[in-house]
Amino acid sequence: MSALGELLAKVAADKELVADLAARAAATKQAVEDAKAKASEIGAEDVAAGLARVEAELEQVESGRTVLEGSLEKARFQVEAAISGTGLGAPSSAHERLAEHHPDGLDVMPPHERLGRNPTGEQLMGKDPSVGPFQKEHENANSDKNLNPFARGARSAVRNSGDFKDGLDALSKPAFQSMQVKWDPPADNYYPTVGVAEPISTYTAPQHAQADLQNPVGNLFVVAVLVADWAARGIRKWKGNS
Amino acid sequence: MTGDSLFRETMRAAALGKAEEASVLYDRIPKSELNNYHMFVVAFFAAALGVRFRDGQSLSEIKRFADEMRYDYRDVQPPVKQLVIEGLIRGMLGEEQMFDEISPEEQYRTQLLAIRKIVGQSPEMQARIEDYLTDAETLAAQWQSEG
Repeated sequence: MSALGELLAKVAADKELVADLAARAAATKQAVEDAKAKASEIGAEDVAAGLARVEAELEQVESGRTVLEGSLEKARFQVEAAISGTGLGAPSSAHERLAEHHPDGLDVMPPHERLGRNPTGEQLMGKDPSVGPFQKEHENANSDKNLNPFARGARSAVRNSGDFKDGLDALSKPAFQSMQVKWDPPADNYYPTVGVAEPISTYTAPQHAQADLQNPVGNLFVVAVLVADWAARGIRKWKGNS
Repeated sequence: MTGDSLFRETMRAAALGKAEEASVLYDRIPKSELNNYHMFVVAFFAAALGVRFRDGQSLSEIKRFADEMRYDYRDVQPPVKQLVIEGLIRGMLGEEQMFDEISPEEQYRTQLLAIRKIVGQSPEMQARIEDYLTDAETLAAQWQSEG
C-alpha cells in the first residue's frame, strides 16, 4: 500500500506541475498577443505574422498540456481506486489489477498510442480477449483448470447414493478388514499377465472333404461307397424280384 | 475430536490397512455425521484416483487398473467386479449414468478397496497423505456448501 501511496503523491505532484505550466503558458501567450497587437499597430506585418505563428504553437502546447493534465487526473483516480478497493474498476488486489490491465504502465496514454492503430473492442474495454463472452472474468476464474478430473462426477456419486447409513454401517468394517487382509498385490507391483488382452479366439468352420481328382485315396473311397450303394440296390432289387 | 478429524483419522487408518484402528474410529462417528463421512470417502477416492491416473485416463488405463485390482483382491468375498470398478471410475470422470447401474453399497465398498490399493502402491500418497486428506476435506466442504 505504501508504494501505491507514494505513486499517488507523485501523480498528484506531477499534476500540480502541469497545472502551473498552464498559468505560465497563458502569461506567455498574453505577452505574445500584446506584442502582436503592437506590431500590427506600427505596421510591422511580418513581425505580426511571425508572432501569430508563435501564438498558434503556444495554443498547441496548451492543448497538449490539457490532455496531459486529464491523463494525470485519470491516473490519480485509478491509483485511488486501487488503494481504496472501491470505485471504477476497483480490483480485489490493486496490484494485480494494475498489472493485468496496463502491462506497459498506467493508462495515461491515449488508446491509439497504447494499442496501435486499430485496437479491438476488448483492448479498449480492458478485457482479456482470451475470456469468452460466457466465461467468468473474476480473478479466480481459471482456478479450477487444474482441478482433479475425477471430482467432476464424484459429486453425483454422492448425490446418487443418497441416504444409506445402514449400508455404511454394514459395509465399513468388513471392507476395512478386506483392505488389510485381502489386498495382496504382486511383489514389486509387477503384473505379468494383468492388463494384456487375451488373444481373440477365432472360429473356423470345419471344411468338407471334397472329391478331388488329385487325391487317389479319397477318390477310391468315394468310388467304393458308390459301388457298395449300387451293389446294395442291386441286391435289394434282386431280392424283390425273387 | 470433531466430525471432520474423525473422518480423517478413520480414512487414514483404513487406507494404510489398519483395520482395527479404522473400525474403532468409525464407531466414534455419530450416526448423524455418516452422510458427511460418506461424502468425505468419495472425495478422498477422487483424490486418490487423481494420483493414480495423473498421466492418463484412457479406457485402457482404467481397464488395466481394474484388472490389477481384481488380481490384488483375488481372495476377497464377495469378489470385486471388473465392470463395477470400470464403471465407478468412468462415473467419477463424468459419465454419471454409470452410477445408476452400480448400487451405492457396491460403490462404497469398491471405493474403499480401491483406495487401499492406490495408497498402498503410491509412495507419494503415503508420504503426503495429510495433504490428500485435506484436499478431500476441502472438496467435501465444497459439496456441502453447494447443498
